[in-house]
Amino acid sequence: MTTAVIELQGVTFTYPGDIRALDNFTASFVRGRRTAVLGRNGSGKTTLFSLLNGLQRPQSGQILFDGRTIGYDRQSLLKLRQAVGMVFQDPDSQLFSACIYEDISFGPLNLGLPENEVRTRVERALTQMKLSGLENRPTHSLSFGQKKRACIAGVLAMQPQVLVLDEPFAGLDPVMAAEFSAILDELQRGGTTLIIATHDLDLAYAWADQVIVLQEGRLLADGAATEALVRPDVHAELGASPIVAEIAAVIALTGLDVYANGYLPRSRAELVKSIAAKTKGESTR
Amino acid sequence: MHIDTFAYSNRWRRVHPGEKAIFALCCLTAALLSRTVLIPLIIAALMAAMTIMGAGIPWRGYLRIAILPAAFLIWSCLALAVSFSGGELPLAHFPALQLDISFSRQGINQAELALARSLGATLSLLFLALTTPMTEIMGLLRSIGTPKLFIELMTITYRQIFIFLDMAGQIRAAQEARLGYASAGKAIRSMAGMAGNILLRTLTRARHNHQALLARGYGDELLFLSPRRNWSTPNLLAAGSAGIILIALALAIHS
Repeated sequence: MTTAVIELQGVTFTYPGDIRALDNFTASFVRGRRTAVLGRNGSGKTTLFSLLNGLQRPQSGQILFDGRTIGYDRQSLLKLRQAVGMVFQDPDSQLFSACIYEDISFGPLNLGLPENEVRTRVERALTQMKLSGLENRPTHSLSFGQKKRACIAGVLAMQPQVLVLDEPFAGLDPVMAAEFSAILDELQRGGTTLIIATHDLDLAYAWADQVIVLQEGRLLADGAATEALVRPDVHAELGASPIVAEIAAVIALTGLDVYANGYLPRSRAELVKSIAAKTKGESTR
Repeated sequence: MHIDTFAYSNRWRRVHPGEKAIFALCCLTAALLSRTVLIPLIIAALMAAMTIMGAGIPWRGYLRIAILPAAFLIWSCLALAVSFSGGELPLAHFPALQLDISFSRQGINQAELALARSLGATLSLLFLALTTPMTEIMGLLRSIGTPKLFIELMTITYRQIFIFLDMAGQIRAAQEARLGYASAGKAIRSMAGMAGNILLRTLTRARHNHQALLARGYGDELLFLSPRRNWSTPNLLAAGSAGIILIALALAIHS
């Protein structure tokens, strides 16, 4: 059974100057799942994210966490921000200290935890993000990938149930991206709900269980990645379809059934494997 | 920025910052208290030796960093030694202006002492600066009860310096790639453009930083813990006793 961890019901958010970022937006994020949020620049992704963690307050509509409407008083916000961790796109806007140990200790201290508990959590987050041994290096000497991991460590130390990441793979080289993906897998196995914003259709297709597509502040599509991302209206809005889906469809026209047994290749590797298995089957027949 | 690099990569990086600070401050006090040239010069030599041989800072780099304050000191001490009212060693005489420039014995003595003291004190501080990263110095200041506002400002400023330099470097490279510095006039215009751009970007960045802090439950205080460091008793004893001996010597020796 699926339960929503965060639900938005008819949410409208307008910036000063009558700029409507979200318009009567309704969607829900399922607990324990990976959700990718897609949309063109200015479609409202950033606004949506800042609502999830209480950084902005909608003018109308409501947001539910765990079935309860979120409050905006100090205590409720602190609880919400503990439960919904937010990782920003640019690590330099998140890391405030030149020492990542200090930076990671910031969140748990804000939760009012005792020093020993905070230190344990910092150590754990450092190990989890493979940053051990780097805590004595200055932040400005770390690589982009290391800084990105430090940002996540700072959020993980608060032990959130939901992790919201804005463009987590942007700027990472393929090797770092693969490592990073493995880290996210591990977090999900641990029960964390993952929500990412991305422009990378292929990544969303391969990575996400659920996708939410925004169009000018409204919900365009909400559903399984394999279904929503191949819809014609989504293609028209985003300007492309996942390449794996397109290739698989073209190959299917030739009669080679890459979709056999309900198996849907989602990544390039899976597609190659599927084609290889099929062609081998054909030639031995 | 060399200072920063050395501070993070010297041999004494792992020594407790408190031990280094006690030693440096004792030497600083001794240098300032002494009434002869000898003690401060010994301290200056000791500090240079410890920084170069002990902490392993390359002497070229050390010299490059130390030369700036040293040159400044020499200039100001020269001014101290020069007298305009009939010193023992005349330098120049301008009858038309009724101006006598000379060195006076007293002035020279004063200048010597001032030079020695300031050199000793400067090199003591340089020792601390070159062996201890800024974050650890801030941690130390925090543990001795420096007002929180100072520490918060220092922490954020120190981090932002590097982001700022990075930003400025990128803009400059982009301008240079389009010949923005080809002539003096263009250079001034480019600099102005850069300054404006940096201001705007800094404001945006400040907003983002604030949002990111709020997202992690920022109240009205920047709370954080520094990594734990263990004091070493032998180091502490050595630093403390050496410092006290130097102070005692400085007080005991006069004329």
